[in-house]
Amino acid sequence: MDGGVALSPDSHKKSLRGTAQSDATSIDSDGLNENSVSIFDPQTLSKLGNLELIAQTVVDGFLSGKHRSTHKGGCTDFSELRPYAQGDDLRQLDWRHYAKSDRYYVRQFDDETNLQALIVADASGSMRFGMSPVSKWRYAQMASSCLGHLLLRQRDSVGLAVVGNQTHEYVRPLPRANHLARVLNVLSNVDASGESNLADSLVELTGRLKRRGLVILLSDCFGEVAQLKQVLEQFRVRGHDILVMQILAPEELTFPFRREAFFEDLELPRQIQVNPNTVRKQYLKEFQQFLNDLHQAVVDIGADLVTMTTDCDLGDSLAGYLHKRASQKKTQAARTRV
Amino acid sequence: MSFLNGLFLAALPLVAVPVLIHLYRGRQRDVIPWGAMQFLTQAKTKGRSIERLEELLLLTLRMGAIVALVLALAQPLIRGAWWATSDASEVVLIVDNSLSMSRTVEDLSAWDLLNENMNEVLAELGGGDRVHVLLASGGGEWLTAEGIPADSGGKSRLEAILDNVEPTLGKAELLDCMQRAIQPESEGKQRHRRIVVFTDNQANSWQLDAQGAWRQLEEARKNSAAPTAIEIVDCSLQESKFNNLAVMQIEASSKIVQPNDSIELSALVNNTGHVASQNATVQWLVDENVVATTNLKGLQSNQSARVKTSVRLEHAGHYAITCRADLQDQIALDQQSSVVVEVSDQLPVLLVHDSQPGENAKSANELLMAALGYHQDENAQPWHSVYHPESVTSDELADRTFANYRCVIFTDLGELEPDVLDRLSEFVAKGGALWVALGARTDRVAFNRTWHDEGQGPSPVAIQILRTVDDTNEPAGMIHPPSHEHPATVHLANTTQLDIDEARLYEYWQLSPTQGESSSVSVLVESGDGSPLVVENYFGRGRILVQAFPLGLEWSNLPQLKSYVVMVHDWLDYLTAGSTARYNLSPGHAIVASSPAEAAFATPELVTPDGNEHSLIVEPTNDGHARFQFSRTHQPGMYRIAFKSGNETVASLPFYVARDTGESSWQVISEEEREKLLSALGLHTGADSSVAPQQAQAIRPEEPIWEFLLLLLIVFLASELLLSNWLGRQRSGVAVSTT
Repeated sequence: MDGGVALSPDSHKKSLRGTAQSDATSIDSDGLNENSVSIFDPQTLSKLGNLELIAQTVVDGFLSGKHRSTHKGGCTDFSELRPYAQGDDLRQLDWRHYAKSDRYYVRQFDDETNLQALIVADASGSMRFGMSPVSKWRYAQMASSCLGHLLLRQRDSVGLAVVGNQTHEYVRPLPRANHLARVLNVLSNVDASGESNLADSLVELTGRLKRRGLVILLSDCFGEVAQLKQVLEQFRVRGHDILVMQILAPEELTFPFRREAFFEDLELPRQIQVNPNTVRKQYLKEFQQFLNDLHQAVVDIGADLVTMTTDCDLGDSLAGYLHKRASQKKTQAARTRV
Repeated sequence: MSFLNGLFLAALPLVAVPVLIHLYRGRQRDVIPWGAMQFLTQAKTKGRSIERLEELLLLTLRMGAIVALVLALAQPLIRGAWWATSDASEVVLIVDNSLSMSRTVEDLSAWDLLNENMNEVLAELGGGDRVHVLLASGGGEWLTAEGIPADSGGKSRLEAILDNVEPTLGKAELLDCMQRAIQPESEGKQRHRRIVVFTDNQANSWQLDAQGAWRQLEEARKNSAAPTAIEIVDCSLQESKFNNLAVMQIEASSKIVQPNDSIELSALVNNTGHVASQNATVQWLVDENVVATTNLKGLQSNQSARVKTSVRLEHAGHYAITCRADLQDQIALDQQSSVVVEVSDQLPVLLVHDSQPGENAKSANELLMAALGYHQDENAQPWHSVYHPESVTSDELADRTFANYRCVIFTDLGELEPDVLDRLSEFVAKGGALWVALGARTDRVAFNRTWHDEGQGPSPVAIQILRTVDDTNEPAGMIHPPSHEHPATVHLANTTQLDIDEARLYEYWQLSPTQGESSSVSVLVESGDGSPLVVENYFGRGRILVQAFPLGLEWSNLPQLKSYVVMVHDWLDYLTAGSTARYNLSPGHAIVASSPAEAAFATPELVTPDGNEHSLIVEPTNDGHARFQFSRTHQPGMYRIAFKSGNETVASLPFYVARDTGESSWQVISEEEREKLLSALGLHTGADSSVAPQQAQAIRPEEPIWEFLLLLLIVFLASELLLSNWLGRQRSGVAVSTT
């Protein structure tokens, strides 16, 4: 437990590389060259096919998922001292401090609880786009499996909701290790398609989560930012932590096309004829504005936003975020003590 | 517009290539599945029309670049005022200083008008222009060795130079002058050439019949390195009755005479004006001294008259005899004409004879010398001809210098050494005279091989056969009276006073002119049946006369007749006229002279009609005499070589270059000729293109514009690159940042 709280970037990198090295050795027998490709490269992971294997490959060794309870209780992780108040359990009195200061103080501890996490994967048609090594949906599948594996390994509860226009799959959160198989099975059997109505789908989920927990949204978040913000606020009101993992394709960020072409909508049955040279600047401007708005909306509701592109190393993306989150918690705890 | 390489225009369809590429790329479109459609639809709705405009502009620039490249390769020439740049020009002023420009009406001469017009043109020139002046009289003479800048200093210098120019007796050769003005390379950075012709538009000056030369001029103007414009400034006087009396030419009975011999002179005076002339006094001058005066009655328009006089000159030498009419008319310069005559005590003539003593009672040698007044008995013949014969045999010819004699006479041609024949040919070619009488000593085959040489030798005729006349009363044995027309037989033709009709021939060689040369060979005398007996022709600058019978009594009785003496003198005069013609020249013929004996060591200086002095070129000759030559005799008038020893003139030789009498007539180019002229110069004919008085006509040349097209090509390419680059920057934007 103490190791998880004090996880340092160096230690996690060291363990991450060690695992990758050992697994790469076993993969190399399948014909992959460890010198030319990284095991965490999305294209390489995608070739593994089995999501469970992917999850193990990525997660094993680099995190031992520890989550603190926000309840102060009697567990061993000391949090702070506070003056005794009537009604407090006398067992919590710090006699040593009383001997020093002749005052009554009660010792408080952070309570360790099982985290209830719901992974919400967006399977709308726009997630099917992928000119780079993998599609956004595939990247979301791999990220979801990694997160699920990570959380279950920590004996946290993991649930899955696949949202989209035509697909509504829901697996309620359970802490059992063999629950991962079901999560991954559902993920594997869904294809991204149809028009996105992410906000409406999320509204339906708000009623299903009874306990406060962590909602992890894997989506490109295309659509109205205001509506999404409104729905995510409802989650926040109910006490849920929200992590928005925005998955984008690099082509969507650079729009590298040169020749005039028909662009076929992945969500609606339509095509538009576009000369990329003439719309690039305006497109990029619109897209940048969208990202800025989304970032502002997520910040406003106190959630976290991680933007990942499908050509980025999945392990690095997850590790980077978790490391950053651990640092924030540590800073937050230090402020609380002071 | 015309093209130097019009074949390249076949590549013009390439202009469609950008359009085809544009259309092809428009048809070849991929289908890209796309997720972020919401941003694409928003972007597409903005700036669609501007995008089309930009594409159209790019397409136009690309097509323009191809058109500019193709046209530049085709090298177009275009005529247009707006093409003419304001760059400095090389200006050639062609000044008509011919005789007609001296015409004066009411104290205003055409030359004054020319100066006014020229000053106006000079005033308009910019400081960067360079000016050349070409005098048109006598085929063109550059007044300035190099161009003079048209700045203030240069203009002053030009005016000073032009102040010394006056109308001459010469004829303007405007066509030749324009050709010369087009040819020189530009000296400085002047990109254009402007040729301004100042003339009174005399038809005589334009050579309008030389169509080939006009075409060459137009070609030369088109192909000139610098675009050339030609302007014609009309300097003719206002219409008025032309009033002019001209002394056209002088004829002398003989141009070589002995001292105190009478010379009959006849001057042709013509009223070339449009009104009757007044009575005039005609003066005869010998070296500027009046020796005779004659009155001339008024002449009607285009009427001519001959004024005659006789002159006796006492001392040996060369004399310029001038005839001058004294009256007021519009052209004063043509009121006189001159002729140079030679007075000599003796003119050496070489007689070549091979007759053996006692062979005949009177040899041809003796007969000929007697005809010239040189008899063995000096007392019997006090008179003798100016021709002094020296008798030699053919064997002695090897030691003789032919240049010392005016004429060489063979009384009965025998066989000669090849070297002698070569020297004789050279002698005749340089202006000497040769009289060859054939006879019994003549070898037909050798003559035909060496003298005739199939037309390449000095003899204009070959020998066919020897004809023997049995009955001398038959036409074949008689001499047909010669023609009055030929100057060598004018006197012989007079059968009333002379007895040529009594001549009888017993034998003679039948002569046959070379095929094709019959027209150039003059037959002086022929037999009664038409067989040529005496023929003459030019060989080089000299004359050769071939006679079919000897000069003695062997084959004819001619030496016994009175006609014999006349014949010998006339034919010697005729043959030696080439030597006297050296003093009476046509324009362009070189002056060639030797130092007189009394001025062997003097320095010769030549004074031209305009008073300028020139040093003479010394030509050493084979005979050891120094010979002087001066070639620039394009200006008519009197030239003099003064032989000076220190400041003293030891001797003087006059030379007269005859003028073109056509300049005395007043004949302005007609309307038809004017149209022809304008057309030849590339001007469009019409109301605006007339050569009006004091109005310059500019002929804008077709100028090459491929430099401009290449510049346009660069502009198109640069614009296309800049525009496409700018559009690329405008449209590409900055990649979206996710941080």
